[in-house]
Amino acid sequence: MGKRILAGLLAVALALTLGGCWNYRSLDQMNIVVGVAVDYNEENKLFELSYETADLTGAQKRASITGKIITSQGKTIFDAVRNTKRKEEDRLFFGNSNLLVISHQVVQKMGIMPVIEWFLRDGECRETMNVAISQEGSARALLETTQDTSGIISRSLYDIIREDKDVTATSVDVKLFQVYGKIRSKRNSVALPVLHKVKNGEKEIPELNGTGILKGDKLIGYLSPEQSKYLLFVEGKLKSGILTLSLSDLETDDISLEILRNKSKKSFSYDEGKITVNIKTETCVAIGENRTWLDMMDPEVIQRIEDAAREKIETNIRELTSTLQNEFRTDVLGFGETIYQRDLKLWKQLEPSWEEIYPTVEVEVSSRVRVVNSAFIK
Amino acid sequence: MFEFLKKKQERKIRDLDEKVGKWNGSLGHEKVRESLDENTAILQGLFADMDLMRYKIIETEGKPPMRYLLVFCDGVVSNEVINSNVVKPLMMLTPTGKGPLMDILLSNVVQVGESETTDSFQKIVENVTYGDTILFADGCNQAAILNTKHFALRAISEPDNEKVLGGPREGFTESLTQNISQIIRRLRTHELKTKTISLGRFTRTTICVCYIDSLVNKDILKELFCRLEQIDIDGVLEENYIAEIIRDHPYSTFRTTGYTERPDVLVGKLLEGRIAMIVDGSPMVTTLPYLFIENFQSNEDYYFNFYYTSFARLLRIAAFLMTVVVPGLYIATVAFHQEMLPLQLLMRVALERQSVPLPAAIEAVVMLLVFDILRETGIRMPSNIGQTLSIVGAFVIGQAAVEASLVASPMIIVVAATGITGLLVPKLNAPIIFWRVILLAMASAFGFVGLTTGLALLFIHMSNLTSFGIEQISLTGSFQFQNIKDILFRAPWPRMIRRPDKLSPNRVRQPERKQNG
Repeated sequence: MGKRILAGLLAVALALTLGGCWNYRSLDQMNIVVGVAVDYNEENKLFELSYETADLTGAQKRASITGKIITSQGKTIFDAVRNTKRKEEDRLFFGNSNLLVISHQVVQKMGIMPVIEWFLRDGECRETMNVAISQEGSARALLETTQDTSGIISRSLYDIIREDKDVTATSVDVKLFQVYGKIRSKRNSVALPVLHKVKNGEKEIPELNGTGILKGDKLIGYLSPEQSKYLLFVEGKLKSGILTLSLSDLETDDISLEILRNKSKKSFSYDEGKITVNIKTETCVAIGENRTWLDMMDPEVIQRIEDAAREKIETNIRELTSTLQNEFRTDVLGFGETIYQRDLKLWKQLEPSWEEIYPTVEVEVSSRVRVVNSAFIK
Repeated sequence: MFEFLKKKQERKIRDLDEKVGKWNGSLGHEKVRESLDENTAILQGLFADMDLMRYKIIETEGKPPMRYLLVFCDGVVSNEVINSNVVKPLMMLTPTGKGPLMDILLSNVVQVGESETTDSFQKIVENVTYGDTILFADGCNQAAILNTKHFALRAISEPDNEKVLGGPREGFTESLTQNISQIIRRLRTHELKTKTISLGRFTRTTICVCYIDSLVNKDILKELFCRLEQIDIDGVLEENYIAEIIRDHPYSTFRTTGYTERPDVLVGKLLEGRIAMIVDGSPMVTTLPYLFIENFQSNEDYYFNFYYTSFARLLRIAAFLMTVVVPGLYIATVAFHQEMLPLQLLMRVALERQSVPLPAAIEAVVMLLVFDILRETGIRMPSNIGQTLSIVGAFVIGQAAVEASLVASPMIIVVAATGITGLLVPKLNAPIIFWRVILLAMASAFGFVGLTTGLALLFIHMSNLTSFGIEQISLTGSFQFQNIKDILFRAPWPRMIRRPDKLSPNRVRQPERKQNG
């Protein structure tokens, strides 16, 4: 038995390393691509790809490595990628690229699929690349900004998008394979993080600006960072973030709640042709800031805070679902997926006319908020 | 068709047999004669041109008058013993009594503790060259071998290549008797057996096989003697001469017999049911059977706290894996699977590699070779020029090569890690060097696929190794605590209840004890 287990473990261990292709590629003959921006040149009808690569030529050994942008054009994505070799000595290496920024014009007009197809199919690229939409005139413009913290802007943007749900929770973190999977299934729609540029003192730097909503594979609108937070609430992807409330008559919100944990559950009921989706959220918060003079030791005050927070979450989720159902008519929250998972027969019945049914789905929201901590002042 | 070839081969074998007979058998039939003059003539013929041989004729005028001949080899005998305990009594005393003359001489006249009679010149030659004095008497067809051995020996000191922090500091020396004395002192039981056998046509080296009678596996013992008896070699200067011949896998890079220079380690092995083989003239003592894990065991493991020593043992095992795999792993990653590296690390390594002219694989081979040259130089060179090596090694090769961008600095780190970890398991130096190069070559050609294949080959080879029929790496045993108590970690002594599996028929080390207080 021991022999079998060992042999099994060994076989698994071997299999892990057996994957991948094995051509000798010298490290000094490759351009390490960190991020890619995709634009479409309307004048000559060519895709224009900008790659941010690690600039290793002139770098001092002790200094941090900066990025260098290379641009190439082609009839297709792959064509553009290969055309780079005409002006660069070293081939592009996509094995470690983390970020794919696509300009909003491309996603609006041509859809996202023609762009991501190659990235998914090619052996070198990772399916776990992060995808984002640029709101600027060109996606390339985002890569041309500079940040002080790191020499490579794509890397910073990748970290900003990836860590957002754990800190501010204003946008989504979507990987390439998830985009593809959701677009291919009719039960879902995709929301993608959106980037734009803002002034920061003298310089312009990129900022995460909510989410872009896709219908099929085309961009049809945006959600603000605040709206996006409730998208994360419903999807249960929210890890942290700040919830502000107004309990006194101050001009701005006066209480900040730090979200500690959040769970959400979607269920549905089908009754005589009417579909009702129940969204339940359960949130644990801590009081992070209090500008009112309310006594936080008082259970009644805590109750008031909990009620107000619950109210706010429920209202905003309702607003969000109505925007998605009526304005965008796209099933980002995956109501179809919920039905599919719980009741396949019903879904097969509904599937052909889901487009029409979706806006008529009734949504009921019930939230629970618990204040578990109230930090004290030293 | 190939009849003539066969005949040719047969003739070859016959010629060889004749030659061997000449070497071995020329003295086999020679017997001691009754006439003293004849014996002297034979000996002088045997030791012609051997000027250190001393012949002393003693004549006494008693009744009856006697003539004796003493033969000894200068330099290996104690002159004092010969003078006062042999020559003097022979001159003063007259042998009286009944029985063979030689026996009377030994029992009544000569004052030497260890003595025996023989009539074989073969034996006489063996002993006289080992420091014994041979006594012939006129009219007697026997000769007496008197132990008058005396030669300069190295004092007992701590062995240099098995250093310990704590524990006994004694080590074996080149003298067989001294070595056995160190063992007997630690094992005061009649169960300790020491069987000797002489090997080597010219050296006639004494080989002593030690074991504890009730603990040893008799099949292994029988097999050992069977293999020893088949050995026919001109000389045995060190244990490895024999160890390499009697191993199950003489051509494997892994050793399937162990060695130690420490009596405490040896006694520990004897107590686990192993057999020791001491070769006269060598401070290295062979132990067998040898399990793979013994490469990583140290006597300190049993002397110090078991948490600490278990950690140290894990380190040694990890070091073995590292030193074998790391160069190949580095090449496979840097030259084939760059996506395995995190971005920051990849960029740094790429930056370092930008200006290096050689491909990574060649760089690795060259640097490993340089390290091995430095290591070998460190062992061979005269110790008073040691500083030169450290300056050349550290400064020129380390710093200057990197600054001149001839070598990437990650490569230096890899070579250093490989080299240092390799020194942690000195008993595995042969397989380490061999398999490291194989894995490096396979990784340079095929990346991870090659590395994995190489590792698979290594593991298959390792699991096939046996030592006197005992699997070196046992995968078939059930996972009982007592079977693994001394493998990856060292169990505390109260839990060391049984001896290692399969080595000894008597597995109980101490009775199962109740929890203390």
